[in-house]
Amino acid sequence: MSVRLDIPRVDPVSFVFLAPAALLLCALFMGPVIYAIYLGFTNLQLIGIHAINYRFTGMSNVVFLLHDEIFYQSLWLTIVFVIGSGAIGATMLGLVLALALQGCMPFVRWISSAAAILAWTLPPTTIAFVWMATSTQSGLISLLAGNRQFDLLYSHAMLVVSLANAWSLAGIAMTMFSAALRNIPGDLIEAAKLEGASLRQILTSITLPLLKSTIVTCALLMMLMTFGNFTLIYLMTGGGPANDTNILPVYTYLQGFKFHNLGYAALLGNVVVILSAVLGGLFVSVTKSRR
Amino acid sequence: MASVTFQNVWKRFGELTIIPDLNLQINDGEFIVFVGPSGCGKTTTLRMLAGLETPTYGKIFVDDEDVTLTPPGRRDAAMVFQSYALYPHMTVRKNLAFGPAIRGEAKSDIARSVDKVAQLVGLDKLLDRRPAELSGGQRQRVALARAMIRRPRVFLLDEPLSNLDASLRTQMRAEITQLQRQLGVTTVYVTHDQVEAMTMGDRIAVFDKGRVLQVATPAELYRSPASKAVGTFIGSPNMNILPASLQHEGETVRFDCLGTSFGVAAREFSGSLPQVVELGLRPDEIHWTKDAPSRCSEKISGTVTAIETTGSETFVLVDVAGTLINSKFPSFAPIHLGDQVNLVFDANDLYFFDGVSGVNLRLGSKEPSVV
Ligand SMILES: Nc1ncnc2c1ncn2[C@@H]1O[C@H](COP(=O)(O)OP(=O)(O)O)[C@@H](O)[C@H]1O
Ligand SMILES: [Mg+2]
Repeated sequence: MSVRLDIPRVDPVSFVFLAPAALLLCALFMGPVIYAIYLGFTNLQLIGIHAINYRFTGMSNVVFLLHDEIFYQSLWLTIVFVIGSGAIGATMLGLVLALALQGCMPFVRWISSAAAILAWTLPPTTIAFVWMATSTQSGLISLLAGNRQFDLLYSHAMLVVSLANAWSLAGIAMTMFSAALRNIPGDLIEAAKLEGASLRQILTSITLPLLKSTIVTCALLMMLMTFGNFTLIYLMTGGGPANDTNILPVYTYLQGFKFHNLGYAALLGNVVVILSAVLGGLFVSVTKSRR
Repeated sequence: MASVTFQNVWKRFGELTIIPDLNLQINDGEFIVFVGPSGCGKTTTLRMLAGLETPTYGKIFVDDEDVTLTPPGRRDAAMVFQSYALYPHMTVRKNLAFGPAIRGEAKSDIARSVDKVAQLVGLDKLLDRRPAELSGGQRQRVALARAMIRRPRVFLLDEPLSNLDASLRTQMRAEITQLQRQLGVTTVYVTHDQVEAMTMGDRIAVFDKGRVLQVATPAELYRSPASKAVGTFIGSPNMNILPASLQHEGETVRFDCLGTSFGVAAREFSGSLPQVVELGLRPDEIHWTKDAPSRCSEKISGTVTAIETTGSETFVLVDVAGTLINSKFPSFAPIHLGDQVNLVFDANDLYFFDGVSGVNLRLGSKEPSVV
């Protein structure tokens, strides 16, 4: 029996050619990451004596973390935000928009998708401003509620930032779903219509099952993008009021640059890296297995 | 079971008229074939009957019920799409059960009818596979079974065999006609293949550019085509069209055609003859002199320009004074390109078409007499 040709083969020479890229990657990416991981186990401060003369403190940061109530609250808020606003909010909003725009007049469809995509391309500062103007005192919502003092952002901070985040991401989700909907052959829907299926039955038994893989991919992507959406929350609430919107990236920033605990912030950053690595890995494996 | 009537039906896409004024009657229990070249509006007509397309003007009746604006789900029509349109995320069983489940039939009834229809089309071993795991022929059967699981008022089939290979196509042709006879459901079958039309249909509607040229049984269509277009479309290989000039000589009309001359009694023709006529002659009816029946008296000659052999027969393209004429030779006749050959035909086998409108000038007379 000779060597099989239909399985991946490795040519040792390829390692030589890959070496420069590997070196660069190690020096410019892996190096800083490893250094940041190391910082998580030191007493580095932003100012003061430990700003220069910091040292390895072993597990003391970790012990502090495990007893840090704000950390647990922050982790929980992160999960709520990422799943509620990203996986569910943005995905659902995008799906509903795509379904609603599917059969409508080209002009309406064009305007609506342009608006949704504009919302997605806006810088976070603009999004934050728009939503603050809408939800704080004397904003649109308080005017509609008939009470100028009503401050939805203060009373339901997490809800408002989640909505703002979902609103800003819905455009990309909608684009994904519109493309997937266009790929569903029209004659499948026609065949179901001929069988006498109602629009709701067609949606639940034909359209949604065929969109399943797009829904999973989109939900994961939205989670990743929501996870990275530090700017929006920081600008709108700064993590408050009373830590109500203090998700991990915000808490990390506050620890490092407000409370000057760079070492502890680095450890929090490590947790963030682990969480997003898990999310990213899931995303990659899900999209790969679809191929 | 039902009869279908198209009454002055028009279809426009934007400003483009695809179907101008269609009138057609389909009888109860009949197998009618819509045949015509690609893009002539067969699918559009079928989709209007299914309710997937709304006519621009006109009315469509199923039995005596006006269904012009009835939504597709309430027409009780089952359709086999050219692409089969199987639900890719469902097993064959689920695909078949989808319609009955939508209509709220009992689970046990559904299971029974799925098994029955699967047996009928030979799918019983494949019920748990998905469409992606089936061959083209098997998918075609699933599509057929999905349409047949109920007894619809009309069956609509849109080129169901065009994606299959030749031998499977021949086999399915026979199976579909047999199933239709068995079920007796009014069936509209769309195809661009005239052989399929001729072998399957009780009646054939020949379409061209959105118009129905003729509706007739296969035999009628072959023997007395209404026009040159029908004559050249039906029959394989295509009918030859010969140029001819004519002179009236009292009670007979004398035709000169490619160097031969013959007379036909004037009463054979309906109405007065036009200035320009064209003669139609099927390749089967123009013979090599060495292989001709004795009744063939009209002789023409030309040069062989192409030879096509299928084994059982040989068709030879002969250039007669600039007109290419396809004629049937005995298989493996000793003929070579460039040979000079003599051909003969019987003037009784000719079709006479109006040179301008293409109308058949000798409709209705079965046994013409040549003087
Ligand atoms: N939805 C549509 N919009 C515009 N033109 C169409 C549409 N559907 C069909 N047509 C046109 O109508 C003509 C007839 O199409 P069709 O009925 O599919 O032909 P056939 O089935 O005989 O091949 C074609 O020229 C096609 O381009
Ligand atoms: Mg067609």
